[in-house]
Amino acid sequence: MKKALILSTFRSVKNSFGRFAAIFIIIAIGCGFYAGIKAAGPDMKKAAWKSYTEQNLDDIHLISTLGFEDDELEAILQYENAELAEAGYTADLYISCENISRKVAKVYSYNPNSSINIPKLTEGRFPENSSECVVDYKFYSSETPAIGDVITLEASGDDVIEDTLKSAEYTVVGYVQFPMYIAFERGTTSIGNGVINGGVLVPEENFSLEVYTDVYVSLKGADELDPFKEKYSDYVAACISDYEEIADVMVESRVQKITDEAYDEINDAKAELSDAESELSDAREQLADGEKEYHDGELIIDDLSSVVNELNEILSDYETETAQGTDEVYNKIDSLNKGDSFATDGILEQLIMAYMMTPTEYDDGTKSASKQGIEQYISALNENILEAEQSLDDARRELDDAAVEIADGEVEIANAKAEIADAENDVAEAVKDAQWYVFNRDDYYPYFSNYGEDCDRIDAIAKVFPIFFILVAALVCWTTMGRMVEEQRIQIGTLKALGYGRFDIISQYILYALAASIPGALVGLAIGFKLLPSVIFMCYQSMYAQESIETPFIWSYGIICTLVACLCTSLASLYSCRKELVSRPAQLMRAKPPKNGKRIILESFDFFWKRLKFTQKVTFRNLFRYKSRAFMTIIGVGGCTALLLAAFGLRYSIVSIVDRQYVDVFKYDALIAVDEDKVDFDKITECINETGIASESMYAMQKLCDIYNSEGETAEVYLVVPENEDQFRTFVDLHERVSQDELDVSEDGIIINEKLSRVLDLKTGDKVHFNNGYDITVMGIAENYTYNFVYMSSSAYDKAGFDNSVKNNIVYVNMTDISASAEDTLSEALVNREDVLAITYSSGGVDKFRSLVSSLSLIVVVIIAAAGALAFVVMFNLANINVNERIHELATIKVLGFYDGETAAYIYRENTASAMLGMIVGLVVGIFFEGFVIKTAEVDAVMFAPDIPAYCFLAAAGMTILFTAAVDVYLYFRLKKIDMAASLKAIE
Amino acid sequence: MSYVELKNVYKRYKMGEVTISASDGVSFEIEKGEFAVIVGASGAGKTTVLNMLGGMDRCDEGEIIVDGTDIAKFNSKRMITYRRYDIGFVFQFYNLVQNLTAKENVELATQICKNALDAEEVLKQVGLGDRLDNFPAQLSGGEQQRVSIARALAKSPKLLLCDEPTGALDYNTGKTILKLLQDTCRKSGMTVVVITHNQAITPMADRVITIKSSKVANITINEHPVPVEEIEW
Repeated sequence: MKKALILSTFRSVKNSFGRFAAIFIIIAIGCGFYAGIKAAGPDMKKAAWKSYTEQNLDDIHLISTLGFEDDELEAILQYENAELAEAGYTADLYISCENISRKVAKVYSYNPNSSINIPKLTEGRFPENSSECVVDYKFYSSETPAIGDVITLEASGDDVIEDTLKSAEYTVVGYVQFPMYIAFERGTTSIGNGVINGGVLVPEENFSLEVYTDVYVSLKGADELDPFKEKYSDYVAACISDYEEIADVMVESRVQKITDEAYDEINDAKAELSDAESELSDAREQLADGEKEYHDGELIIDDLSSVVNELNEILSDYETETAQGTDEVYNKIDSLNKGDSFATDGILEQLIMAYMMTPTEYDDGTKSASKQGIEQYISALNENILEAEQSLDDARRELDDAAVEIADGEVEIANAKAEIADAENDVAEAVKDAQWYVFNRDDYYPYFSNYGEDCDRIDAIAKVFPIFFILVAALVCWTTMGRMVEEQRIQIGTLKALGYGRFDIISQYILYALAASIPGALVGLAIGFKLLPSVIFMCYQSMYAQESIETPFIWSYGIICTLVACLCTSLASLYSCRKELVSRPAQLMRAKPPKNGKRIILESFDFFWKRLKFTQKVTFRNLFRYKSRAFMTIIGVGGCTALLLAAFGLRYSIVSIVDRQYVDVFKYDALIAVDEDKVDFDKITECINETGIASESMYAMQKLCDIYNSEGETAEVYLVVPENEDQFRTFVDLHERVSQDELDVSEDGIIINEKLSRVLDLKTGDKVHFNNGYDITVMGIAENYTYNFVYMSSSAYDKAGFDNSVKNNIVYVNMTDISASAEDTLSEALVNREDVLAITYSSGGVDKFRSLVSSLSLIVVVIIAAAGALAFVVMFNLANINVNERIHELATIKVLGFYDGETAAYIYRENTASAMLGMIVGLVVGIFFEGFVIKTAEVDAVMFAPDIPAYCFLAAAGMTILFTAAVDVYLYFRLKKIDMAASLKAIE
Repeated sequence: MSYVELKNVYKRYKMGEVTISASDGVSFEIEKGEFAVIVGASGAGKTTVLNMLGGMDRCDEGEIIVDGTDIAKFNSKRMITYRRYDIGFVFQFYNLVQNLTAKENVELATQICKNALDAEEVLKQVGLGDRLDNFPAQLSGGEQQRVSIARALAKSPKLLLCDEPTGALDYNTGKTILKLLQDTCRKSGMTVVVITHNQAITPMADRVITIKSSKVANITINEHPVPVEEIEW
């Protein structure tokens, strides 16, 4: 290219700065917006990726029903793709401290040498001894314990903390951020109200569990893969299936081992049992012997007693019949002497002694026992009997004890038998469900999949909005470059006449186009890449815990954008030049014949055309004459209006659902979740009423279940069965959204929410069924924006044949006072009750939702601003082109004596007419566009308000009018400055 | 006092550091009802004079008195009013609005004037009674110039200013246009000022003002102007 041409090109930039700026700005906005929104998703993903890598988040998480032992950990680590594998303990426990009532924490073991899932210290320090812990820096829906607080951990139900942890109390010494928690929600659990409020790290040595509960695996090379890309998930999926195979082997051998170990013990126990049984039978025999001896002893005592009686009788007869008596005594003694049925040695001996003693005296005397001798004998005998009786008593006691012991032994043996049976059962049970669960991040950690989905959703918006921007930008470049080439016809002719080739001529315009579009694209990209991802990230920070985002210049998008921009402008110049390039110089230098005026179609409607004023006729003629430009204005303005309407509409759709949900639909002020098994509704009602701030309360059942349509598609819904259908209306207002018709829960069927009807494609009268296959009719579709609900009367529920009957587990409360202090009063009245699981207030829901919503609506504000800027530039540029193209005409009417206002009005009428037409087109297109955007951007559990209120139309139209007016003001001065003499001198 | 009077009119353009005088002390007079021709070479400063006289441009110095009023002192609004009611312009390239029919082009002027003539009547006068509804593109150059003249006349201005009205026309057509202008002047007593570089047509004028190097070189009054038909060039 020749130097003169390059110079001329750059001079023309200076001379037509408005045009240059228009291309520059439009390209900057288009590229910046496209690239910025497009980069937001990837930037956010990258931020997450970075923190995953920094904290070395595990790629695979394993848990086992049996826990993990060292050899299993070794096997996991030995897997070829495993880079690292660490085992740890976790337990879901209740946490409480001085100023925080019982919450649920997930307690992790802390190992300072661990290099997977490294918690990031945000404040304080890590534990240095076993009585310290660090906690989650931000508890979910609860106060966070303060550093220095002593927390108490408690197991749920009948379990004791000592089974899990050696001690229950720990001092908080720091806050950490867990890499596993990407959002503020901490996941769910089976204890408490099912919600985990935060994580706690206690030193590993505190855990008293025998086996590890969790194993975290970091895969080789996984850090280098984008965790949101298929390549990563495929890799992880492949590793998971490998691990599942490893798991089969490991579980089998573990089961074998456990069974073996268990059966060793069981067999020992059985052996002991049989020993015990034989001992018991020995004992029983001994007891029987003892009993028999005892019985003999009793007989002897009886004998002795009768001897004593006889002796006493003898003694009383003694004074009269001594000799006879003596013989009798002697005989008696003799007979006693011969008795051999003495059982107890002691007794026999005493008796023998007594016997021996008596005859001595008896023999020594006069062969007749003296009275005294007999008396002595009797007393000696009595003494002996007494002693014998005592001995027997002792024996009795021993025997009784032995009997009790034997009974105890029998019970023990029975218990032991039961224990053995239990042990056998336990082993069978443990072995039966023995399994490893191998999870990826999305499946195990809360909100991981949502983060990716949210990023993708921004991408979805990025697909719709920015393409619109690029299109409008392309359109503007097209017209602008076209106009430029047309204006420089004569110059092109002159250059050709001078002998310049086509390439030289065309490169002049392409150079101009590139000079505007490359810097425009770069400036736009530089701003877009920084600004938009940051703004969008800021919005999502209300939901996700990501701390910072890097906003790099993404070359791929940058290059694509710049290329598209350059292509657009260069192609436009090429296209505009195409005629000029093939024309001969002479043709070019001759004035281009002006476009012929002609009658327009409206003129054939005589009755209409005649009624028009002269100026109106002129306006119509011009509009129809410059069809392409009018068309361009309509597309440009219409596009921007549509964008604005969609942006306003989207903002409304998001913002309004808070009030609609919590004011129009959920009329209740508090919702108390109760334990359906323990609950005492009368007591709870009493508690609620005693506070004096509740006006009404009602029980209902709410449970999560799956619902299917006739096609078999399914959705997760909350099934709500109110206690009293008539009263229900004061707590939840079920009505149709558009007609506002009230809906009643009747026994004939169910009422579902609108989003569900859309997801499952249901209409009133359609049949759906639950897990049990019972078909039930949809009786109405109710307005609702968050989650999916199915409302059912209790009679309908009974008919539907569920396994369980209605068990109320929630209490709706309407309050007369909804201040924070009133809420505290209610909470305090209920919080210590065992049957109350959770209390949620509508105000809390509103607040939580509002923060989410306000973050989303910020994105919309960005879109509105960009759309507005785009609209302004488009109209400004088109107006400029319009004036340039018709400068002769305008100069002429000025010469004719049109006042400034009249001259401006001459142009305004056309501008305004086409802008208004464009606006109307834009508003109509915008309705569909908004609908599309909402469907694309909608979150699963939420329905955006699908209607567009009048004010959105007014705002979009108003802004368009404002831009039109602003452009008109500019035009006024632009027209005033037209130099008639100079303009008319040139040929047209 | 004459109907039109220019007294020591200066017009200077600053081109960087050089000041160029487009009118350097121009003074002349034109009487009411006269057919005046301002003649001079290209770049002599004729158009500048005409633009100032027609209220399209303003002078830096001097007086431009039209019908007793010094228009040099007008502000821009009064200047437009002056153009609107008192001046009719005819240009070399007609400057018709392409998108309007002949009649509508005339109406474009008449609808803003108070004492405007009927558009159709004027077009009949200039000989286009049967081309009322034709667009400029459907008319020949001469016809277009007639529409342009009709548009100027329909305003019934005080002055009819013509800038090279025959410049883009062939010999014969040019002649008929000049005849139309001369006839208009004679029949309706309209004051007509024609700018031309063609010395040959000066005999038809009542007054010939020759401009050379931004100055009035000569003013000749023809006691007996020649009808256009008799002029050859």
